[in-house]
Amino acid sequence: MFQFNLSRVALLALEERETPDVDPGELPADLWDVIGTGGDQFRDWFTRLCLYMVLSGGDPSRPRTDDTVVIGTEYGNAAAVAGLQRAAAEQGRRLSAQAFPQAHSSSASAFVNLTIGATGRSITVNAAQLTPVLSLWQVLSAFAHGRSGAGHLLVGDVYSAEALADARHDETGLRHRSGVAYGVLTAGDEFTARFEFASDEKDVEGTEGTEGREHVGGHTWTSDDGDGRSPAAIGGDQPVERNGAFVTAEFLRLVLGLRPGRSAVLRCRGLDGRRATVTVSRKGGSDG
Amino acid sequence: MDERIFVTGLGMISPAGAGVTPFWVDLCAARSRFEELTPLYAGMKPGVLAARVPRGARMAALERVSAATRARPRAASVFAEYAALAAIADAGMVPGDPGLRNAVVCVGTNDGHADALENLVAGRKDLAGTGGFSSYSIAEGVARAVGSTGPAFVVHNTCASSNVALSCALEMLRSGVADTAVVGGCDSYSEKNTIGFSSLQAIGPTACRPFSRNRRYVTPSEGAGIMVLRTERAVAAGRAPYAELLTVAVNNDASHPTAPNSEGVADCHRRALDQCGLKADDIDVIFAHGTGSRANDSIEGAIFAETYPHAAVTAIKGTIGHLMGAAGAAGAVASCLALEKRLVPPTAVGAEEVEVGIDLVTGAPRAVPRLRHVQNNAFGFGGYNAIAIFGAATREASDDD
Repeated sequence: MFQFNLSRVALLALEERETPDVDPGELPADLWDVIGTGGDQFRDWFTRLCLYMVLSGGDPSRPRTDDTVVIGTEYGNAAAVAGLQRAAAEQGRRLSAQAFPQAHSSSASAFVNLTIGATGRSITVNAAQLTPVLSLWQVLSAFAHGRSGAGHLLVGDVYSAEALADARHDETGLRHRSGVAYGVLTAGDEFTARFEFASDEKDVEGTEGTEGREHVGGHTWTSDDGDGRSPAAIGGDQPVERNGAFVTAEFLRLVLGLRPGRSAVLRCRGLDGRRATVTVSRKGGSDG
Repeated sequence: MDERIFVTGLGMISPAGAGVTPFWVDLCAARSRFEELTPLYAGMKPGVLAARVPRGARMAALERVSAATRARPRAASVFAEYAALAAIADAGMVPGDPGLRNAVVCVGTNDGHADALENLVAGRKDLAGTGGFSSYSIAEGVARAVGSTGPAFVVHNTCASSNVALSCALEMLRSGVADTAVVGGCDSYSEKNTIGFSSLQAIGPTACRPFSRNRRYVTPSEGAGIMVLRTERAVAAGRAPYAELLTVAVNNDASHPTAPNSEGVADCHRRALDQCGLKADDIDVIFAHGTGSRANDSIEGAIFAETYPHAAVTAIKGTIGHLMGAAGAAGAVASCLALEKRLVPPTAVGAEEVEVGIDLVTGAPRAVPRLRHVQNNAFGFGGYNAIAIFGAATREASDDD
């Protein structure tokens, strides 16, 4: 059982496009003011969105902290990685040494740490469809061990052309929309979180079959201590997103809005049958 | 008090070959197997040295991995699955063993399926031909290979990835998620990395010489190291663990995209000691990150000289190269072997060229009969620092065996 407080939730969603890493569509008007343009030609859109999320509304004069940074993503900085390969082929000896630091699988988290001066634990997690739950686990574990007073949770993807092709190749029936969710969590006891990990073993073992596949992806709802379920909170008839940003933001908003004693549930199920569930309860209420 | 976590199985594939034994033999002999890379683009100089997993070892690994992985072999998955299967066998387990059913699977990697993405971008293969490049499939493949239905995930922390994976697994075991973890790191040869390091002029025609005043270049390498971690209650009766994993400290410099920061690295050392209640003098041996770069070795060496004057230091990248995201795993496997054998493999440099005032083990392996604690350092671009500390495997639970 983990404890925490939640102070901020945000979601930045991009329009659905074939090459969002090249043409992301409409963007926040203050994007460049917030993240700056220095060295920007080497960033990809995933890093840009992560930086925008942590810098928007943040205090730029804030001193260095021991904050934890956890980024949950399936494709992360794949666009910059591919871009470096193309740039080397096109530019040869003119290839800038500034491109390489932006072209790692964890570049976004590195530049988030650097930009906000966070010296605590920093991790980029890929657990496919279970990424939202496992990423949250990492933030809360840091609190439980007394290692950080605050945690920045970023979950999402900005699909490059290669990432879109890769994601669609799985034929999950999931929607592929780019976006990043952001939550600021702090050490405290307003909420408790209980995690469960389970599996549909036939799928994990690779046995053929599509039973239960309609539940692949993330789902969230509020409950009365597990007795009830509010279908209206799941998202109605909207297609389930592969990108964990959307369900993460929805879940964190449910958590923020919980009445005392009530709970919110985030359940994610992978294509391989693995499941991860986190139930967050707000303290107080008749059951304490 | 934290639950005690033990290392019960080791698996390795490296330029030394497939298996822990060739790895250890090469380390103790300080035998490197570096070869020249073919330039990948117009800006890359000829004669750059690197280390590759030999063809025979690749074939041996390919024969062991699952049919799905064999059908579209991506090097990272082949390496990781092979090392994982070797590790569980070493732990006395078989795929599907009850002890593995809900095991945590956590793999650290920097480049993931670099070969798949690079083939796709270069037009050498279509997506179906590559097998896909989402790094998650590395953990999924390992989990399937060992028969785990528990949580499986990949972590990316550049060259600190494996030690961060160890940290994640350690915390999940201590929180009661499972009693077993299959954890480590892998990375395969990456064109992107070669291009990137070349653009930084960090790789070149002379071999990695850690802590030498003549050091100049990093020597990139590839492979995987996987270990089986078990809670004390799950350690099988009659089997002596290699080591106890005491702690893993993780922090970030938040200072520079590529250059290490002395205060950040020193802070990670302090955190590691604080987390497990040890003092610097309790650390007998350090497997340094020791990349052979000017910046890293200067910072690490200064910390060792000032804070750990009694520790024997060794740096294995002069022998097997820099396994990138798997570097911490290679160091962790070597740390456990050192604890088991009470032996420290040498650094592949001459004693006369050691620059800083540290007790760098050179020449022959050094016996340390009373070896208690071994520290394994892994740092990476982006300011990532992760330090694991292993202890000799003295189990109170053995009374119950």
